[in-house]
Amino acid sequence: MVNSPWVRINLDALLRIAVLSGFALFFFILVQNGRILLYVNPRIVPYVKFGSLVMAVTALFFIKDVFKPKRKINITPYLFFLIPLLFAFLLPAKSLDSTAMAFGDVEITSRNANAGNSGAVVLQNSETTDTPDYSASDFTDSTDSDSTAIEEDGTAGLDPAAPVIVNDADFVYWLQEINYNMEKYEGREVEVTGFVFKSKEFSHNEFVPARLMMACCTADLQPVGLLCRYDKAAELPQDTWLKVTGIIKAVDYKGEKIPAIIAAKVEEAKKPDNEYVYPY
Amino acid sequence: MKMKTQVDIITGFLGSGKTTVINKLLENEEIQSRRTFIIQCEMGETAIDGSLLQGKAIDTGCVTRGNNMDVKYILGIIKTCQPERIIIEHNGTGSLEQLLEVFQHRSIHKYCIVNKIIHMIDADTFELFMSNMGGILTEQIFNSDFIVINNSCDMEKDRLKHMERALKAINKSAVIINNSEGVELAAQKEIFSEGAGKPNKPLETITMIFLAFAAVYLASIALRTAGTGPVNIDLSRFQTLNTVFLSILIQAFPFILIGVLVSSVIQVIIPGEKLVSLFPRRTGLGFIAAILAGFLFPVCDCSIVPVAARLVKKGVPLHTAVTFMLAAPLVNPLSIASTLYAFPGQPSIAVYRVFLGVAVALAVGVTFWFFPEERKITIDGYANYSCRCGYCMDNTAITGPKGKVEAVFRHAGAEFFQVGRFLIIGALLSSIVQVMVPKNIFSDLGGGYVVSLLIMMLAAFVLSVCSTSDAFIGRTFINQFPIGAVMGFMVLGPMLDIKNFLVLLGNFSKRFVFKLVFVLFVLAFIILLFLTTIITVIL
Repeated sequence: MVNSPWVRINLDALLRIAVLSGFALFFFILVQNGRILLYVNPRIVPYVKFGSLVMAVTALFFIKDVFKPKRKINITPYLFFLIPLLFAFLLPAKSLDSTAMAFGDVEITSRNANAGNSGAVVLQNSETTDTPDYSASDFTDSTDSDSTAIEEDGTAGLDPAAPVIVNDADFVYWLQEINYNMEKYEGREVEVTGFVFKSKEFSHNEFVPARLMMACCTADLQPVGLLCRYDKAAELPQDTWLKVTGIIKAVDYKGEKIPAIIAAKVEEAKKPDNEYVYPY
Repeated sequence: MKMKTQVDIITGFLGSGKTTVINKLLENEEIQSRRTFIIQCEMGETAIDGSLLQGKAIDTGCVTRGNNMDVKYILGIIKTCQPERIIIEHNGTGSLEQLLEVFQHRSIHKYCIVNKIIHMIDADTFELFMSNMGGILTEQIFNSDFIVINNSCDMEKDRLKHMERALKAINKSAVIINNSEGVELAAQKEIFSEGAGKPNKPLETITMIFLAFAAVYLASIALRTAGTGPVNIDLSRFQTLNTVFLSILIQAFPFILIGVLVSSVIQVIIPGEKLVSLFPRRTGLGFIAAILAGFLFPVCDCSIVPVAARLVKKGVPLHTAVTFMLAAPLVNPLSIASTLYAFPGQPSIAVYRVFLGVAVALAVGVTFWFFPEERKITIDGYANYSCRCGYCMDNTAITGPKGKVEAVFRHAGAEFFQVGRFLIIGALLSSIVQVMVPKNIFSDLGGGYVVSLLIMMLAAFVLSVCSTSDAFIGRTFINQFPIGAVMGFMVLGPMLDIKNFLVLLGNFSKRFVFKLVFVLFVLAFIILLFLTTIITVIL
């Protein structure tokens, strides 16, 4: 707290307005140019819009204070806000890759799958009649545009002859679906795009065409994908984007049966516009 | 150029010793040598000692109800008496800011400069006045340079210390003078000497920071274009940290805003008695209401703390508010939905999570019911003052829906700044953890069930993921840890993590926060250990 000279502007109010409108503007620009998806799950975007609006409106209510000078001003609290705000505008968002964060291991399976209770996120198909109601009613509303994509592909997936083409929008859906219904998909052709993720634990012919899954925000990113066996896996550099075509097979991985892709064709692919995938 | 008239203001309530200070001051030789004008705004028991005025260039004036101390009055004094200094004995119940505004008026600003503001406090009546006239008193304390505590000789040390802490909370920079010779000291000339202590210039500080940033930014661009290898790598690491940090902020800000808005609506619109009556009188029902309220509150952990703090301030029993605060982030619809998504086909996990969360929240709530907090646990004071929503200072001034809406937003804005900085520190800490610490570091620790549970609870605190994504992160541990330990992660995570801990510190006293954290951790551990063992057997 300092004694301010008798300046005619209330710095305190000015800083409040600067911080509030600065963040509101930052949020607004992110939503406008779509870069918001580098930071948060699309589900959070409406909240971000709301936040931007609330901050802008709140800033308006402090305008009338600007010309009421205050004798004492404590600027320290505002520094906490100004510094991140400066970084927000100065440093562009980075699309993270597998080397960026100290990730643990890629999630290639879930041991907790109950054989009898298959696929809760699956839509109303014949096999999931035992799935409780919530999956159909509550969740289809909240998954907005993605749900239609899942629905279409979900129905396509029922055709046992058709190859499984894993799109960006339903990446996590397919991952879970194939994990939980391994037997059903065994032998099916699959096409998936992802970046090369290798773990120390993998053999020389193993890699995962992985995607980073964002549950809420960038802080919880984790690589997910199906294990892939490919003779020339060792030659694939980490983080290159690939399109893998192959056959799904249940394989033995460290004493556990998990679904894997036996790659037939591996070709370079373009990095997708949105590198992240979302569980819901 | 002619020297500006130096204005000193002495504030304080009736009987706090303002006139006594002025009398002491008049004995001071330096004062006697300069032409001085004393303005008194009220007449107390002590009068200005006439003998001191005789033969000296000192005039006095008195502001009563008839003549206001407005621009015209001050200008009149300056024009007719041309004093070198003015000493104002301010009316204790008047607004100091109003007086200061007079001196900022363009016509007066040319001639006068406000030098020092001294606030006098009578130790005996301070607490009483603080609770009755809080707004006015806080305003005076906030604007003072010196605070003199009078009559404090026979006061217990504890009470005095508490008082000083309250003063510091309102005004960090003021010098507090507290001893038997307080009045003598106050009259010493260095206090009143012109420009004692160098005033800092906030504008300059901010300009410096901006310039420093600009310099760093330009340097980084220059280095990047020059293509210096190592700098690029460092920057990318930093950029990652920055992205993660901002993502936590972007994700948490809207929820914090919801939290402070709800808190402000409660503060401004719902009268305290009514809110308290919404919670059942009987303690048992109060707990149930707290948990049910949690089910209806679809927000994450960051928003709940300001709301809970507001409930406590409004008089809701602490144990009810604590139960609500701990249960809400776990039992709310968003969190339940995310658990169902994270564990497809296993709704039982979501059920157990809610069940365990409610159990822990209740246990902590009951503990605070049996061992209630005696002292004040919420932070306000300065916060209330700096709020300026027009409501916290004087809640009779708010009328009509328009005024209320304005008050809600101004109050929310003030609270946002108060809580937000803790959130920012928390977000920074957790983003550093996210970027630097591999998640499987916890898996490598391994160990027996008890150890696993402890590790998972620790991981929940350190990783600080949002309460809506706890379930997804929790799932990744399922291969290395027993489900019971992972449950520990998912139950404790929404209740307490680094980010949340700092937000708590922004709303409650340190003592209470540490007590809460301790009780929560111990009880959560015991409950999880016993109940998850039973559940694992069932599963």
